[in-house]
Amino acid sequence: MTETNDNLCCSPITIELPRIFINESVCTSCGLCGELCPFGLPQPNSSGKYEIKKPELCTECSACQRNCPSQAISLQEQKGCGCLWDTKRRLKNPTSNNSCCG
Amino acid sequence: MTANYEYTYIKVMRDLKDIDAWVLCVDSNGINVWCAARGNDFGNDQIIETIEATGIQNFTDKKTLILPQLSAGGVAIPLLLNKPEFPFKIVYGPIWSKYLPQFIKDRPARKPNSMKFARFTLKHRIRAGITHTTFLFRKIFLLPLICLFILFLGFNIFIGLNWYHNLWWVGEIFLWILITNVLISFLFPLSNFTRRFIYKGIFFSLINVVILGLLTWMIHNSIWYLLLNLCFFLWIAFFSTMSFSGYTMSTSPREIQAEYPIFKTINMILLSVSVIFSALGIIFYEILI
Repeated sequence: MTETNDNLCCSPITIELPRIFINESVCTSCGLCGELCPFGLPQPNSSGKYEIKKPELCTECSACQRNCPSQAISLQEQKGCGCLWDTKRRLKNPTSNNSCCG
Repeated sequence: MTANYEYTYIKVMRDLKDIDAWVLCVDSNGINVWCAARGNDFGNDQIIETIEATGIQNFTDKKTLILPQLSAGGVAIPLLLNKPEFPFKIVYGPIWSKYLPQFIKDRPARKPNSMKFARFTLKHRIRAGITHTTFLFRKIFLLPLICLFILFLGFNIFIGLNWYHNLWWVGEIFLWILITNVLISFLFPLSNFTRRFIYKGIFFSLINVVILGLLTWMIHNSIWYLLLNLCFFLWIAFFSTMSFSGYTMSTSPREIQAEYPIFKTINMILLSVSVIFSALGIIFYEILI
């Protein structure tokens, strides 16, 4: 995920944002994100707050973000199940939200 | 609660046999839980619609609604609980329905890893390999190969071309597809050095060339026949590996959508070249062998 600043007075700056980020100051340590992530990415740190050490492994399924009771998680959700046929369909028809798989 | 993909709800009902529970089936357009949640087919709207349509709260004194863990990508519990009329307490269950009896019995606050992690184990990969092989035959190969078989049989019987090796070639295509998918299913973890499916596809294409190349050499003992079919070995492995992206659950839609245009180009080139070369291989088989 990137954000670009195309301001006329300066050269474009590209900022790499992590795919997913847990705001530690808002996290209540309920652990629901850790229960929902199919890959076990959110893990408690030494202070008991949850953090994601390998955001590059996140598939942006949004399970943790949607269900976090304190809205401590930021990510830009990407619809789709990651399958080739779903991808083909979405690129052909970008306005469609539904999945194609059985 | 589960999706109305046929295999899913039958499996859930089997796993809940002898347990005092109701199974609520969301109308997910016949799509499995994970894919339905990742589209807009299994979310808050569908849950509310199902409860209202069935009036289930009037038939049971049970107060807990267990959602599949993989539906969390489409459901937002905080928004459901904001509705005062929502009749159930909601919890997310295990990732696989086979753990439901244990989950209902123990009601763990923290699920054990086996109940919540999506691992692409050998068992899952074998199931994926079988599903993908049957998909390839059903959707792509079966009809053209049956037509070719009948055509070649006709050449032999009615024109007297003596092209019986062509009948074997049709069977050989089946064998190549089968071996390729077995290789990918068993060796998939070897490609974990990268997340990019293009690279995984190239990796398995090269393995496939070596394995099927050796096999073809042993059967036909012809370097020209082998060379003419190399492109097919590359293509079938590349295409099958890319298609496996839908079975792992760890594939990021953003990544696969970024890779798709490159896949499409490589796939078209490999497919076109392999059709031409394999056709040459079979037409000039007698000269090559």
